[in-house]
Amino acid sequence: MDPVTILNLALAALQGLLQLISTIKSQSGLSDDAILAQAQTLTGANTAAYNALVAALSVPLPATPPAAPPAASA
Amino acid sequence: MKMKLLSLAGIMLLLISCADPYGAAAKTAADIAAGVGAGLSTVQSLHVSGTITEPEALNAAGYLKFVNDADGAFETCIGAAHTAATKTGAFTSCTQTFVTGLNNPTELALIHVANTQASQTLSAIASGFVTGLQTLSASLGGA
Repeated sequence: MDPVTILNLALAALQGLLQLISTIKSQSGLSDDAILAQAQTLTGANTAAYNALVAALSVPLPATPPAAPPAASA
Repeated sequence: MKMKLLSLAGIMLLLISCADPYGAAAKTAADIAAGVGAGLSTVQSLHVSGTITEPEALNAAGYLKFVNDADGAFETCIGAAHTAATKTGAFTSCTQTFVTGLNNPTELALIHVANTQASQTLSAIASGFVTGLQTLSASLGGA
């Protein structure tokens, strides 16, 4: 898979995690047990996000292609 | 990112007035998990922008994984404290164990990066975790 695609997928996973965090924070009136359960969900999601990030980092980014040489003048 | 950290710190400070040790500890665990998630996103962004190298990104992510694992242990600890017959000091003990773990010099060394601004950002994230736990510890009052 294209390294840039992998990085983008990892970033999308992290953004999904942040959305989950935002959703949890917007909820109110949760019981203590529910809050702890959500904390455990977040730590589990973090582990998955970490694994995705490490996998993405292990794939080298494509090198910037060298600039094309100037066209020879006639 | 700074706004997220400020938000995290603000939530932590609200815990001072909380009279529910279990709820306060659970909320702190969730907040730290949120901070870890935001931190991972920050590490990825710093790497993609070329601000930190790949080994630095791996190290910083490794530190955040360490914090996340410690947070998981903290969640288990406070869950056990909640169900224990004798709760006196149990939540404080869980919190102190977490703080002690986060102050591990070997782990803290993982967030040292060459770029000054990135180094400050990562240090602020690490400090936020400890500050939040210290705030929780103070609010628990020995519970």
